[in-house]
Amino acid sequence: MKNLILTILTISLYAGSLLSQSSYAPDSVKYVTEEDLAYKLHEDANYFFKLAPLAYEHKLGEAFSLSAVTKSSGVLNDNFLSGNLSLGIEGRYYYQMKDRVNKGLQVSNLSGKYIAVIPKVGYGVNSLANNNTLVFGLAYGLNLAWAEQNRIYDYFYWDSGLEFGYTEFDNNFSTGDFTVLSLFRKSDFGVVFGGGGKFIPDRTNTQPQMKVNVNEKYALRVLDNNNYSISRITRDGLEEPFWQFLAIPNIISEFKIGDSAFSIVHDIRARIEFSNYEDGVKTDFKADRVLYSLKMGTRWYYKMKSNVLAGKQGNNFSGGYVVANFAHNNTIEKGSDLFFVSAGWGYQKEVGKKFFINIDLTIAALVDGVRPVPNFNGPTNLSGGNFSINIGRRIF
Amino acid sequence: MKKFITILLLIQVSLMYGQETYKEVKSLTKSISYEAGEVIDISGERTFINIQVADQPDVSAEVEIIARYKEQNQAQDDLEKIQVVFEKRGNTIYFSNAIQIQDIADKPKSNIKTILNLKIPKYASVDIKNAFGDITIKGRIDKVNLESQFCTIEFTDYIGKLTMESKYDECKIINSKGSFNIDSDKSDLSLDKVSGKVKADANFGKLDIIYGDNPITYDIKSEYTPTSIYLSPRLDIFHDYTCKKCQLITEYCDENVSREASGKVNKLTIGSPSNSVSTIVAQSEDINIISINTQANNK
Repeated sequence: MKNLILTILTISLYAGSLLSQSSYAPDSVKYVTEEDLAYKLHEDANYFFKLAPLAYEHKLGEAFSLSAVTKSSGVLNDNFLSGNLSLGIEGRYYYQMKDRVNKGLQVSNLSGKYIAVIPKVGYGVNSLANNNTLVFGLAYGLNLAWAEQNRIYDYFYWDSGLEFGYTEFDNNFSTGDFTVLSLFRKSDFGVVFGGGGKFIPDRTNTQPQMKVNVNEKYALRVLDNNNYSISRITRDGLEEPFWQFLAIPNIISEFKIGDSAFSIVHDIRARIEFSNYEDGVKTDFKADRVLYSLKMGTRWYYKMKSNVLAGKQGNNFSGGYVVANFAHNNTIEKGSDLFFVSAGWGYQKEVGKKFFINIDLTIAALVDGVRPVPNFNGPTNLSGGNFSINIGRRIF
Repeated sequence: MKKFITILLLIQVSLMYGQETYKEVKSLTKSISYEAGEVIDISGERTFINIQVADQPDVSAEVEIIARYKEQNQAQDDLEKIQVVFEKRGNTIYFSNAIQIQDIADKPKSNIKTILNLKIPKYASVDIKNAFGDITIKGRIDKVNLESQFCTIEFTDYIGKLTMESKYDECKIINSKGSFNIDSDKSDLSLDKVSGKVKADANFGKLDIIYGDNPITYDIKSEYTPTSIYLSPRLDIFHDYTCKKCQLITEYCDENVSREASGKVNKLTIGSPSNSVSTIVAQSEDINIISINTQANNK
């Protein structure tokens, strides 16, 4: 009797526990954002073939990679130009990879923060301002980088961080060798073709997922277009090295007008160049160029409403838009003060907080001020056009 | 002994209630007038879609959104994150059930699914996108454009023009007629008594073709897709099958059947060239040709 009761209880206990489980597992849906979809953190990648700059990166072990890279570097100001195109071997260590893989945040691929060593050798070209002679010669050096590489959807990547480089140009100038030591903001965005293991998910055993659209009200962004550098340059014939400093800070804010597809944009940009060199002679530090621009505009994202209705995106700052701007440009050392109105088309894509790309095509008309180019040919009130591709990140 | 039984019962009850999930439901019933030339655009996320053709001038929808979670409040909150859209804008009637939140931290936790029962007028045009759900369509619809992933799809008695991009799906088209353009990747595809024209590109899945008695033109390319073909003895069409790096397996062996092999390419034709041609070019996986009669006899 006792055994019978125990058997019945055991069966009913088992049946009860089965009944208590819903046909749904409570947490069985995975909710993914645009960021999750874009960065492909859970996709294998054993190699990357990158365009602009041209490079081939191959994974070695869990956290290392080796790349064949083309590097271009240079110094450009009003006085001289030096450029260098070289081939290098880049060794990378993705220092957070193991930890992130163990935590399930990504699979072992070629995305993440890394440190890198890049010995390089190549050909350099130099030219002095107002001197039509180009001088070619061997260039070699070493770069060190601390950066983060992210895949952006299937065919793009963004690699941004800091790079420290030393380049020596042999016999480039008639006066002899010169060297460039520079620390600069690295920001490479380009096309990538990647490959990994042929992972085919089991259809019957794949966790369902739903995309989550995030609505946005306000964004503050900074542009990251290789726009900061400090260079120390030595040359035969100069007793002391000279320095060049370049900064192009650019902050953009954007806010929605209510829940509409319109937004208001403020764009503050400056360009500051300092050096202590002119016409082959070391001088005191002076501003080669200091200018700033303020721009205020209104954007209308023309497909926003229908995309939100179709569930394709949240009411955010991504999509094609038409824009009208009012801008003020000032070149401090030249004393020019210009006021423009401009209008055009643009496209912006934001991927979470880490990355955005903006393409802007506008034409502008000068409404007040003196044109910087007096012999400008064209309609009297048309001041030219602007086409820009900018990448950067959100502050918030 | 009584004590022992009571304790066991208590354990069982606590286990049952400890695992409980709360089910919260939000419903919507709405009709929208439909004019000729308009498109019904359905963008589903984990949506179980059932479309039926009805003799009515409107598009009517019954929507049920279900959230299940172990905490009732969370399930209720998560329901509110689903923005159900069913409205007309221009020439398009939109249905969508996207999750719209203000902050990434507000991601839902519940298990959410949507059931959509849609009745549409005859000769409507429908665009559907869906993932991790079901799509069932029955009746005459002028045009269907379908893009799906991880769905179970069934077209029954469908008449119209279908363009389908299918990934990781299980798709059956039964007793249907029209023009079919199918691009399937890692999906299992079953074409059962389909007539009209079918053009398909099938990769890394499974393909079953069951011939009916009505004329059909197949133009199929497949790769790494095991294919089974069930021939109807009453259907008089020309079958032209090619297998690259694979075999054509059949019990057919009469004067109508012609075989040819060249290197790694095997060819088999049945019948003589006529207006209706069934062309299948397969690569890397065999084509198995079975007579429906043979199969019936074997059963």
